Amino acid sequence: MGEIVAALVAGVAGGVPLFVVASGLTLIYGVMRVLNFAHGALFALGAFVLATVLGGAAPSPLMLVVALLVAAVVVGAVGAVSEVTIFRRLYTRDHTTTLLASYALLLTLGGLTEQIWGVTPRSQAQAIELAGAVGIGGIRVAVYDLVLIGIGLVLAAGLTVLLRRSSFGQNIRAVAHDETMARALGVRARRVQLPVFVLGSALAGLAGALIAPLVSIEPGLAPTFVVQSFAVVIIGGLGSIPGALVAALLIGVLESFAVSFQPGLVGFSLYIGVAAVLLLRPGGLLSTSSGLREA
Amino acid sequence: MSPVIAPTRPAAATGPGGSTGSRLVGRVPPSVRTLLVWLVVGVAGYAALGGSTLFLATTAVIYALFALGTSIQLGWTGMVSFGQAAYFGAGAYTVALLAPAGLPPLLALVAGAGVAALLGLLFSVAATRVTGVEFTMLTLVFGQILFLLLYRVPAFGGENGLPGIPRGTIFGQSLFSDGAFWVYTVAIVAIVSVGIRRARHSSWGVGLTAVRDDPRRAAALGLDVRMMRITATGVAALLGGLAGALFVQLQGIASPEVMSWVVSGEVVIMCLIGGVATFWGPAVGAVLFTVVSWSLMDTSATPELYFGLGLLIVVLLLPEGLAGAATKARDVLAGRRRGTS
Amino acid sequence: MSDQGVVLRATGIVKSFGGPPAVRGASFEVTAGETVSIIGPNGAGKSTLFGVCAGEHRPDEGAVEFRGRTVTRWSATRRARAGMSRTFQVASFFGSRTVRENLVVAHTATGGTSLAFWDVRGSAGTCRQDVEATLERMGLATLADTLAENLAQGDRKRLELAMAMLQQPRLLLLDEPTAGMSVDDIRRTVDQLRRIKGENPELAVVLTAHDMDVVFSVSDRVVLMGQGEVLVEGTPAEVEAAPETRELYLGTVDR
Repeated sequence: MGEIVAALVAGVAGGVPLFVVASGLTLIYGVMRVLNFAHGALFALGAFVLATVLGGAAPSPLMLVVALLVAAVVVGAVGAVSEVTIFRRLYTRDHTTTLLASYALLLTLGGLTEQIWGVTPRSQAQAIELAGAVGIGGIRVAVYDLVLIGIGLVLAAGLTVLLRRSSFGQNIRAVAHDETMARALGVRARRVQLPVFVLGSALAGLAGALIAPLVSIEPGLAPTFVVQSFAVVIIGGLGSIPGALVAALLIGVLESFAVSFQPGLVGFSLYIGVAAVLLLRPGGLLSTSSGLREA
Repeated sequence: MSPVIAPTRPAAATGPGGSTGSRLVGRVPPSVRTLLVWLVVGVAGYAALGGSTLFLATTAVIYALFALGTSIQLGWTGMVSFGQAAYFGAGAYTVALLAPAGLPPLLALVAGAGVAALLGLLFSVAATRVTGVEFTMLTLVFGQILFLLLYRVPAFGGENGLPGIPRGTIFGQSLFSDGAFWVYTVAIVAIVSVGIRRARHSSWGVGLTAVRDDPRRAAALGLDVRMMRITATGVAALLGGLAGALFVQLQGIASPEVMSWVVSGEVVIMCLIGGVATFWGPAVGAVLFTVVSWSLMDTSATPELYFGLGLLIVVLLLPEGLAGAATKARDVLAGRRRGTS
Repeated sequence: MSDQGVVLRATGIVKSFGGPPAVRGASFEVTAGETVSIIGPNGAGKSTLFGVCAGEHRPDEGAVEFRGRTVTRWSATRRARAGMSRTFQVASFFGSRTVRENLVVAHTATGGTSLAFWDVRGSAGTCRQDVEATLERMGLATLADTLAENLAQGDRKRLELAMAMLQQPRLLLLDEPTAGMSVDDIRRTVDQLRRIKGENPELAVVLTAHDMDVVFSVSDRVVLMGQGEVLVEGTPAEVEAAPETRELYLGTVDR
């Protein structure tokens, strides 16, 4: 029983970075109909920026927070540049063109990352205060897992408030629903597109930074995470942030259970999830024609 | 919307109203022209190249086959797949796994292509329930599953792959020398190209382009859109598998990289560089890509950067690929000439 | 009524899109050689009923029969193969191809998905002959090499009609065949419909339309819909005279 609960907590925590990266992907898709392959590269970039800021040594918790924010801001800026130079020109073109452009950007950013940081994997030490585990009701839970769960809760709540309660969120939903109609109502699509792209990219960077202390940081993170976040977005339903949350937690928990009880299946749970969803509910768990309307 | 999957240019040969220029060329049937092109390539390569350049040329021709096959799905039918490496790899690993059985090389190729085609059909039966971007995402996920399996299933040899695959003997002639293997490769690719060339203007080929241009209209005309998409994927997979099988015979080893998503992306790039609007575009793109990446490998540590930048330029500036740019340039020149005369 | 000659029969069709039903229990039938127009104000449910017949929507209740077979659950593709050809309200064709190529595609698609990898169409069978004959008959010969997307509105509709006729259908479903046309184009379309009927005496036609002049000049029978139900059905004269028509159109029929 204790084992199961421990695996559950670890799974939820493992799902948080997935949720963060996938929510950015799904947000950008929901508003601009751009499926950004380069999202994985932005994720990897976030991890590299954090490791560079902290230099690999164990930081203080405050420094860790600062580095997380720096990573989000830097990656958000990269997102801004790519929106202005590439994607903005393609919104009126068909999806295929945009898909290819984002794939090209993935290669370019991947190559740049390699150029700057090289191919040798790096590691980032955890803050000492967050490195251990605590016992809660007889179950040992990693402190950083609790931190991740907390951050996940804050981000999920923050995104919900932003999309549902703010006037910016109203504009986002209007553009996601029907760009032409939104324009007719006086929403300036530009004023929504750039910020959404930056926000989505920053989320990717933040997710990469969050996971940096847990993995070996190398360019290979990009393809791994682009595939995983695609799986999350397929399972959750394209454009749906609640869907991304549910799917990310589901995958996190499945993976964690696989690690604990069925090591042969590690790495496959998300594919099994994708296959199941495809066969049973081709539109995704929480899909609507435009998921953001519900977000 | 201007599709990147550019439509075929209005074919002048479809009726009596066709231009006189195309009627002249039209006297030689397209399939014969296709054979002639490969004959010239084969002879020229045999005569002029040797050693590592002949090996490179053989690789380029195999990739040309891979790209031609992929363009059936990508260009004719308008389905973007980032999982083509799965079929290439399936062909490669089938040949590698069958190597101990000592099959004749042609039979090994058939087996590789067959396994890949089966895989493509199975995948597309499930995946064509969704279309567009969701389909593309699934191709990527599918490709990654197989890639992962290569490392997990011991029979596939993990990171080391399966080495020691002999090229074999055909009609009493050993394929061990690069010259013999060049002839063998070009002959197979030539025959298959003729088939593709014919299929392009067959009822099936016409149906595929109709599905690409307007699926709703195609369905209203009685075309089974999903069946067309499934068969397009199946044929692309078959040809991808054949290319993979040839590749592994050339290399003598099946390594997991053949199934990586980088290969999937590369074949899409090859198609787009050359342009999918013309028959030869993908093949030309493949040859160009192979040669350029080979020279970049030697000079740069991060070839992705240049591939990426190159592809960005193609997508942003030359949506119809190099072939499209060439056509446009010709049209502009022709127009200017007509204007001044 | 006997089934003799009934080409299309819709019985008790109910269809809603989440809200209140757009069609609530509509029935009508078309016999061979007959032209039936479905009319009604916006929101009357005529497009939905048309869509149900064409296989675009699946009804919540009711059945569609085509030549004695129940086709309610058939896809648009399967209906097309069985001999139901349709046009769309916004003319739909392959814009990046020439008029002739559009017809070749339609010819190739007739009878369903072809898995013939080897037969080069155009040279195959009667394709070229049929296409050229249709170009001539539909007045599209001079436009044969024009890209379809460059056609004028009236010609677009004509191309669509030509594609449908090339498939030698038993039933022609025309969704707003004169929408957005100039007065000249409308007259030409009406003439063309009449000629098609003359050349194909067995062909059944269902059309939806706003333009009452068109409806009354081509129809054998008219089905008037209002609020998802069939209000009146009869000859154009009967429907024109019915009080329901006057009530619904408030004089628009009198112009």
